[in-house]
Amino acid sequence: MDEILERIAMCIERGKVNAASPYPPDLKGQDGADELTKAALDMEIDPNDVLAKGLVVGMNTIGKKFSENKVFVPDLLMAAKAMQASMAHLRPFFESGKAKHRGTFIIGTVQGDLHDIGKNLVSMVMEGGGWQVIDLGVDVSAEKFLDALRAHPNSAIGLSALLTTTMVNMEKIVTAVRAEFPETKIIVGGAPLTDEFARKIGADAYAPDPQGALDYLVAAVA
Amino acid sequence: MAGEIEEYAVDFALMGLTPAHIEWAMGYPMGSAPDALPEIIEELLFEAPAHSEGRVGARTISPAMVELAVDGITLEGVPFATGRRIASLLDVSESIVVFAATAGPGMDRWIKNYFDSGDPMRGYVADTIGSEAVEGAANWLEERIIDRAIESSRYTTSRFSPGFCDWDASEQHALFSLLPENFCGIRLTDSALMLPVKSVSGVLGIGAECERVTTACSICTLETCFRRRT
Repeated sequence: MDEILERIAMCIERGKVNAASPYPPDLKGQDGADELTKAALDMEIDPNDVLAKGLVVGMNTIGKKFSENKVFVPDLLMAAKAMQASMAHLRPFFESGKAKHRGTFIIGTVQGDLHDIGKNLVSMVMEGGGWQVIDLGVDVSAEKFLDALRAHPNSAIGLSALLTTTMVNMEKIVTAVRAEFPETKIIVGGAPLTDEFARKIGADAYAPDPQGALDYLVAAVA
Repeated sequence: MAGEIEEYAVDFALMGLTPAHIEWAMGYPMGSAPDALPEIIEELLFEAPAHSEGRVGARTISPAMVELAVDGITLEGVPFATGRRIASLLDVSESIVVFAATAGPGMDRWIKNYFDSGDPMRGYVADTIGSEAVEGAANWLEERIIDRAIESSRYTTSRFSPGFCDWDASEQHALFSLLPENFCGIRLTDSALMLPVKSVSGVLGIGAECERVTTACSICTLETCFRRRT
């Protein structure tokens, strides 16, 4: 069992989507995350193990390398594509309740800001880390975050901003969330942000990169 | 609006983009990009000229209308809190050039189409090409300004932009107040975001004693900047 899960993790880390994928060249012609995940489930390996020992391990490995500047955005995107090929096989198990997400994570780029690449990377790493992700998109108001929290009240939330002029909008959102959902974990991220800013506006954590967001939430809900 | 105003269309070929440059912009040392990437970069660099509508422009603020201080500059009575680092690098300027550049709305649409069609890899490569295209257009303008300065025995500083090196991005509004409306087709949102998104703006100084910094990153405090190269 462990061998196939290790191979799933490796395929995700290296962005090997399926057998037809020519990349990476040294894995050409071999099964990818798609076929291996299906095979693991056909072998009746618990889907929670496929998630925890395959997908999560693969995405954690690439996420940590990204944090250390050993790989860059395209590597993360290729890994996410492989992860999503695996996730397609797991989705029915989530829907039936046989597989469990670690939690729900609501994310959006804050009001006034249209940048979404960083937010999307966090979404991918969180999904690969076993979280259900609800992506509200860009230019998201406090009210939209509150609506999403009302629909998914035990979720954590992530706020993204790339501009000094829009990161100030985070405080309004944090204040609104704290007023109605005081226990909600709130992570903020984006190029101009700092730990100090996160503390000042009342967020729980500043994540310097996608893996930082995942690591924080895994520790927070443990 | 007084002062010399210039505006040009810039062809994509003049923006100086190569596959190696795009890989570098994504963070990869020479030749270390993953195998799948060079092919995508080549493909999108081939497509990009059809979507690029590069425009650049500048307005030169004459010495009589420039006031320099230790922590900022004032241009035609409009104050800018650039921070001490930028102010110290501009402090021997005689005139100041206010500039803007854009890769155009077609570039934004091209990038968005890839993301919207569920292809984040091509979306990201296109986004990087767009970012580097507008920098390339600004470089083209800067070289014209440098050449003209040299003809009159003057030099230029590096260019500095709101949002970098302690200069708050909210001052974009004040900066654009010194330029004609809809300059280069750029407009600002309330949050000072330039539209088209692939646009840049800023200032540079001209004077007999002006010097350029070797890398802008060396003077910038924004440690988490996605363009940081140190």
